[in-house]
Amino acid sequence: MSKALPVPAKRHLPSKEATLFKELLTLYETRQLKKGLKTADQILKKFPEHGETICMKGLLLTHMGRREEGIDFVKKGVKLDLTSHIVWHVFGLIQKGEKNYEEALKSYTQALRFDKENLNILRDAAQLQTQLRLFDALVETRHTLLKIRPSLRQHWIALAVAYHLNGNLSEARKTLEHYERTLKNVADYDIEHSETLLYHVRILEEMEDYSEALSLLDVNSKSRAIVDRTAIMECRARLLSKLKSDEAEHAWRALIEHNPDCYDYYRGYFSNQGLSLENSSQEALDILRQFSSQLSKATAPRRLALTIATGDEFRDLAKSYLLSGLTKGIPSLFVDVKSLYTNASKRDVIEELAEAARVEFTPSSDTPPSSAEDTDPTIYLWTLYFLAQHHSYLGRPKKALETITIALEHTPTLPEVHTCKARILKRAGDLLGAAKSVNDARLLDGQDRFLNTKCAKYLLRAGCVEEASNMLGLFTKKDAVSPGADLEDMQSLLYLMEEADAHYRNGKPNLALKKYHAVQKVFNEIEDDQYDFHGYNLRKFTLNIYMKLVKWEDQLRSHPAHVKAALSASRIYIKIHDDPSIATAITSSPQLTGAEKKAKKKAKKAAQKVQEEPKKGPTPSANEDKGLEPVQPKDDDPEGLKLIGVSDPLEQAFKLLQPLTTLVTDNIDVWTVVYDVAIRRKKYLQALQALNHARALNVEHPEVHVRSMHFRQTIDTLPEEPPAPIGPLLKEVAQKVVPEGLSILTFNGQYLQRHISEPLAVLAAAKVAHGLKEPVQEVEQVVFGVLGEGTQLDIPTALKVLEFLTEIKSGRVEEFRSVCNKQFEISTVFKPLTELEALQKRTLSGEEEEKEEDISPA
Amino acid sequence: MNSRALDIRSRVVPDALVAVHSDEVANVSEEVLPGVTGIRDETNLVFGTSFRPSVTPVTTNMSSNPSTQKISRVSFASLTPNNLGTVRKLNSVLFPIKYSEKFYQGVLLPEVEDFCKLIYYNDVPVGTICCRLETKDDEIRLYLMTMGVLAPYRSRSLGSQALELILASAVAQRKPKISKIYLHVQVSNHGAKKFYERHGFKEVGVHENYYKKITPHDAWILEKTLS
Repeated sequence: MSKALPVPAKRHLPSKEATLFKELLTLYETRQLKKGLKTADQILKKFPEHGETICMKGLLLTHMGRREEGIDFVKKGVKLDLTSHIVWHVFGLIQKGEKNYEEALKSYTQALRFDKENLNILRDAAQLQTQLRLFDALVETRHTLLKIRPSLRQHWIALAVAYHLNGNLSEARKTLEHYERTLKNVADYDIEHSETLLYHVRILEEMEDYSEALSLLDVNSKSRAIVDRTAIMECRARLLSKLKSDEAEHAWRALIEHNPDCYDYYRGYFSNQGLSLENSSQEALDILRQFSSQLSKATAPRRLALTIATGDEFRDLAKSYLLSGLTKGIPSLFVDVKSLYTNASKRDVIEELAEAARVEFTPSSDTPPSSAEDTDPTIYLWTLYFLAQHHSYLGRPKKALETITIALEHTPTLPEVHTCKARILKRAGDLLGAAKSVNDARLLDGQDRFLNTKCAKYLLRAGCVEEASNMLGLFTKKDAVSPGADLEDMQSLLYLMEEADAHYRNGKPNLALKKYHAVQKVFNEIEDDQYDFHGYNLRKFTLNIYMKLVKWEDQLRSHPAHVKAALSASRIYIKIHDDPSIATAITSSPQLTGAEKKAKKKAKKAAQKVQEEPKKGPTPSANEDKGLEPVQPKDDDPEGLKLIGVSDPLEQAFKLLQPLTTLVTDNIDVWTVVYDVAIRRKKYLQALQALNHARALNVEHPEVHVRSMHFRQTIDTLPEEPPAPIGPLLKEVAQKVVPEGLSILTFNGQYLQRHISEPLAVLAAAKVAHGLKEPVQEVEQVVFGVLGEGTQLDIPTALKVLEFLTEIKSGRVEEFRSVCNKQFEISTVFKPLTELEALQKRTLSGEEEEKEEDISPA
Repeated sequence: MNSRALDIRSRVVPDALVAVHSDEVANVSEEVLPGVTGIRDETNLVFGTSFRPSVTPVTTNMSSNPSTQKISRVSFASLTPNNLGTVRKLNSVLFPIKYSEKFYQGVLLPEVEDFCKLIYYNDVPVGTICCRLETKDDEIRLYLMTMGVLAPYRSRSLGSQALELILASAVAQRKPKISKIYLHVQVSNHGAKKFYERHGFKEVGVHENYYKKITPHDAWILEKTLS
């Protein structure tokens, strides 16, 4: 940190102390915290009001883990010397450590007012500006840095990147051109230079100056300045295609030969030839045949041909593809081909082929196996495995079970067969049986973490949260507070989502909220993590990948897990808002079931551990750097009681949904939940917008229909019309939702008639009827329509219906339950609760039962 | 721990023509023979504490018919606490008897690593062979407790390969030297007896009432002296 002039009187130190202060700065830079603290105290003895020294002392203390004390010192120091760049820099550092980027940038801006050319501060500020996506300011800062130190390569690149991020490609290009002209004596095989050139090519490509891009690429790949061979080939093929050059075909072909199983290369080749890889075309098929015969080991051209081929040609190709997969014993064969099932005739051909293979490979029972001519028994096994998946996928659980049972008798030692059975049972609604089957697979191979995780997931699906936790504990860190805590640290979204859902189904919305918020936290962390890359990638010149990262981070919250967690949590908040007794029941009378008692005990232990830690802390070294990030405060709400007890659940939901409204605009669920929250918050314009979005996506969607009718009803019954222009606008849309001259009820009836064979639509119509305060009998009448003939009721929908019936306190809940229980033979989810609990106990203890049966000693 | 190379290509002659029903090969010991103590020599325990599965693929041409030339992979793996579940599963379908925990702990002992194996066919575990070491009159003997292959995978010389592998390991072991290998075969199980005789075993006697729960109760004692 260099010092600025002129020095005000109160900052001035006599030469001895001035030297000490310089020393103090170096000691901090080299993280000699204890020594630094001593030095600071030495200065303060004579000049107790010296703001910069006080700030430095505060900074040192914070690093040493005495956070609160440290921050007090820093604040005091800032007040004592408001025109020092050092105090503002220190303050900025502290705020940055707290991840409060906006405030930190403000402090840095202050610091820069008093020391305009401080490299450290400028660099940090640039990083903050990138994190906050303030690209105009970023360009400024990078410019200043370059002016101060034009000899640094990094400063040129950083400016180009700043221009690029700010959307100013031509300036970025100029900067790079200027920079390249200044270069002298670049060493051979300089990867940083190579990456910079590739970045330059990319900018030209983005500017659509393809010929310039190509010539830059060609010149520099010939001179070996660009060393990444694959990147050259890919980039070249892309550019030639865009230039519609004759060479393009050759370039793509070279790539395919380079890696014959990369689907992207085939897509590039075919789109260059003006051919589609989706629709049937003889020309494309012929080319794929050529590739298949040239590249004998590649599966990609063979698989792609299946998508294009039709009729007998498809049959031939599919036959050899399936047989080769079954012979090699490729477990993922079914997953690979199932996307072809959208075409019903292809689906039927595959079934026929697989059944034929099964007949062919079935060992003859009468003649004893004579080894020589025999086919491998494993081929038969993989064929059964394929067929079981096939039938299960097509909703034939019985047939699937029959097939997989034969496979299990044939070879009971292949984990895949057990997991397949588990999946069949899960789909058929026997969640406990599924968990047991996947556990059978797990027992075969104790070191397979995939099986362990699958097993835990299936246990969670079956509602056995504690058992799942124990299962996961076999692989998590032994010194973690709990398996769950370790998995949360490891950012396991799968675990967090599954456990949250399980808690919710088990009637513990508080614990579910807890996990959904943990998912949010994971995404916050990922967003924070990019901060370091704003500096790192520039230093390492990995620019193309960096630009990808920045784009990806901007889209981060459209990740399916984030969306699902936000929606599920919001739905819980809506429920609490509609019926506050849900929350009060949980918060006021802590139900002490066995599991909860245990959880409490665990939490207590965890808390104790956290308290014990500082005791161990100071002994190793007082000099230990604890960094500037605040220590994770201990969890004071392990049960999520505070989360569920919030006074403003709708505001919480609104906050969660906010990022989704710009990032995930094509998701109907997002808009319906946004609507639900907005209309309850009486933000009618927001509700209207959400509804319009949803209706634009699919006006007939059951959930959208429910909202449309709700909107009309709400607007019709508003006690007071909101002022213009909102009021008339709401009226207008509300009128549009239901055609003129029809009542909501009639319109709803028409909707029901239109979709009478769609269970979800029937349920929607029932919900609307209920919303209109129709008598319960009427509503029940409607909803039981899902059991009608010609309606394809599936288990998830049936469960939704059951939930709705329970919600409206229908007297026919049990009736519906028992009908479903009969209709879904294999399922257990429709069994009465008491029976289910007994079943759970039996299944879980059954595992232990098998263990013992000693042979009697002689 | 040294994982010995399990290269038995040179030793195994694929005897495709001789149909051996190895389900009958399953010989079942119900209890430790009276007078025989399981070896618990500490010096033997010193060298091997880590259980590393060592799978060495052994490729055998399964077909003499050139038109159906297919390469099937046969390989063996040592037993570990993690794959013990597979052994349990195999035992439960192969043998009419439930084995005790003692059995499963025994097969994990480091000194029997070379004598207890899982048999893989095309990467699927389809059989096991398990022995224990016994000391009698200052003599170390290998007792073959179980051996079996799942029904669909029989007559592919898997049993022979496994047995030859064990025999080779037993011969190769120097400290302590193993004098002979023996086993019990139920007196109804002629196929099994023939199978072992083909591998150089000789009948040395009949153990009356060896099996308590299955009939016939008597068992042949088959033995092979190792040189």
